[in-house]
Amino acid sequence: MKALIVEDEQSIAKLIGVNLKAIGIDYDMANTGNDAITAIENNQYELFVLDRMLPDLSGVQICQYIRNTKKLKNVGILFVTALTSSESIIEGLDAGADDYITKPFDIGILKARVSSLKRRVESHHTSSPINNKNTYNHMGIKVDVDGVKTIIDEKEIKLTVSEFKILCVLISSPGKVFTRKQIVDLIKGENIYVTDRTVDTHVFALRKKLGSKSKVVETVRGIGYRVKSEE
Amino acid sequence: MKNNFFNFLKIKFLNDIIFYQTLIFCLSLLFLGTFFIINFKDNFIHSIVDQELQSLRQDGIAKMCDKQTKRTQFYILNANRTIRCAAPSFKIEDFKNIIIGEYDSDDRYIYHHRVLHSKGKSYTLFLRIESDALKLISSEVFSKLFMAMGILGILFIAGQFFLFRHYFTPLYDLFHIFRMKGVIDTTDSRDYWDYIESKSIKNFNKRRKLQRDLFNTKQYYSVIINSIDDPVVVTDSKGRVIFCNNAFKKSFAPFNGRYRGVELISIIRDYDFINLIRKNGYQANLIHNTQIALTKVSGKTNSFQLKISDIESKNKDKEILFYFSDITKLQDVNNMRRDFFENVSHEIKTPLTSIKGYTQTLKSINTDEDQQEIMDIVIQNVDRLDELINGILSLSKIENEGKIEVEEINLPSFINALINDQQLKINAKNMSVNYSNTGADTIVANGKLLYHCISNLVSNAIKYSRENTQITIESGQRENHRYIAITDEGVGIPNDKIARIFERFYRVDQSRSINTGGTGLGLAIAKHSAQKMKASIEVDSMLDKGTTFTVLFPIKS
Repeated sequence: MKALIVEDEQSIAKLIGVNLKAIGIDYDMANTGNDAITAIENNQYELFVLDRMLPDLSGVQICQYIRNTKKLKNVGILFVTALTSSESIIEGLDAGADDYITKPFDIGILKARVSSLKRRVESHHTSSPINNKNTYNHMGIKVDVDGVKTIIDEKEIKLTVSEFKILCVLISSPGKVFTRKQIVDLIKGENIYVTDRTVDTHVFALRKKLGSKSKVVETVRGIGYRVKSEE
Repeated sequence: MKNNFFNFLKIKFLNDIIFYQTLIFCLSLLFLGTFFIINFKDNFIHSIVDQELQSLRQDGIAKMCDKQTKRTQFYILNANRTIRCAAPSFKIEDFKNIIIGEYDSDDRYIYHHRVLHSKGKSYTLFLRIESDALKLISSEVFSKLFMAMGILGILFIAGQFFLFRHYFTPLYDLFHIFRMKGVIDTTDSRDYWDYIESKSIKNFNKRRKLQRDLFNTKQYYSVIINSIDDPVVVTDSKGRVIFCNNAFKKSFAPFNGRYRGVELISIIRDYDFINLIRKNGYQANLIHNTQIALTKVSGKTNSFQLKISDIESKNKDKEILFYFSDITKLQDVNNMRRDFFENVSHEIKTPLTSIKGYTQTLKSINTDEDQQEIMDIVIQNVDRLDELINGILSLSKIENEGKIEVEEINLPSFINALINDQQLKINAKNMSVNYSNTGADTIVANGKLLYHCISNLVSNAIKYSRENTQITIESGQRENHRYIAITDEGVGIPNDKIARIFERFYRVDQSRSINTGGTGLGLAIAKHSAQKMKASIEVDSMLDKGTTFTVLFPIKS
């Protein structure tokens, strides 16, 4: 697996590179947005670590470019941002990033996020999380998508259609943060009336029903929700 | 009524014509009469004398000496003294060329006539006319004159009144027909129909004074409104311009063109503005206060805070006031400030990332315990600096927050999630958190600000508590407030310091802050977040016993 680190600050790019190498990921570096686009055109990458603020293009623009490029269908994108406001993070996630970390980041967290992303890329789960797999078994929660069943400790729990769909979205990519907007976009369909505002209510009700496993569904303050990854 | 304003002007104009014409006419009559009397008084006297002489012709001089005659007497004087005598036999021709004398000391006119010599003697004939007689004659003349003037004046006013009626009777009839048919609302024009129907001069004068006052008031407010730098325009309920100030003309009315009676969206040809009006109509309650970018006549696009208010009036149609407050400069300053903070934070965080990252990388490959400890200190301080930057950014953001959106927040789920976020810190000190909710499950607030406020208070409670103690969080309703109270069993705050704890960077005990860490901004952030939501924070503390912070949210009645 090869990664592209897009970061204008040489020292930080190198720091990320060193730590990517430590978990067995080879990497290239680009210091500007245009360099990044050139590198993408000429190479095959499966993982991107993007800085939010670059001298020419913004990380969000590169992210959108990647998501709109056919040959980069199943790639992982990690945002690295100094802007800690939820608006800025949501903008990155909505543009197609899988995850984010804020500067100054913890090396341990960087490695964990990249590893999680790597696993996800390897199992091709970056897009249309609901349609690729029919069953999930994660941290004691079993979900049968076709049978519309949720089983915890051998007992089936009753969920509403909206709650079940939300759980399917979150459990399909453990560790990945989904913004409220993304959740709404992924589950909208017949007989489902969910808006950005009501996602919170559904998740609250879902957690209650999950009982002992309620902590598996995490709130990412001001951003959205995710299902804890194994570690 | 469509022509209200026009008719009002017409009436005002006619009022003035009638009033001033009548005034000028009466003054002219008075002046002419006086001039006439002064100039032709002597002619009156002559006519009286002529009458006397006529009677002389008929009755002879002797008649004039008759005591019965009170009005006139003849005196025949010689050169030295006055002798009353029987009249010599003068011929009537001798009485020609009478010279008009002056008033004597008794205020009487004396007419004297030098007569021919008679029988060798020369006589002067004086004709004395009593002033009473004169007065009588004068007052008669005057009364005739005044009567003539009065009649002329009355005729003139009647003419004016006829003109007035001639002008307005068709209008009045038309109005009456409309009123009967219910086509128009009579209250619209009550003012001037009242005037038409009133016939008293007192009302007329009072009305004229009111009109003058109204005109002066309009002038007064017009000067004030024109001195406002922001565009202001008043329209009727259909959006047609009634009044606008100079700033509006300068910003939106092209080439000082016609704007009165023109619909507002025909003047401000801005796509967003037209859409806003088309969507909401000309109504204040729907577009109460909104931000909009408008392109001015100069081609420059400015940001405006548009405030729209209804002007309700008993006697008039509803009018609408549009106030375009130019906030371009304010926005520029705010954007500069925001960019500055973001750039500074970015610039500071970049080296911090390097310091922290490389230190952690070094630490992972280094086994020397002392060096590991040193690196831990570096990392801790980077985190502290990062926390400080985030604190300053948060505070600046909260202070600059404009209009905040509120929603109904479920208290138990909110507080539980918040406790969950702080769980690591709670576990590190082996503490426990008890949460209870009574009376109210929800609170109307801004989620982000509420989180800022309560998380800082909980974080403080953890920071200043000893290990193995308990934090109690309560939420519920008390009188007309919803409240969230956080109680710790910590070190407490001295009473004399409570007033200052919400200041930025204020520390109750500087030495203790080194151990507890933190930025000194937590309580300032909590206070500003609460204030933004119109909430207040109460503090109750006992040294070495603990502290309770209570956030009170007023319930809207």
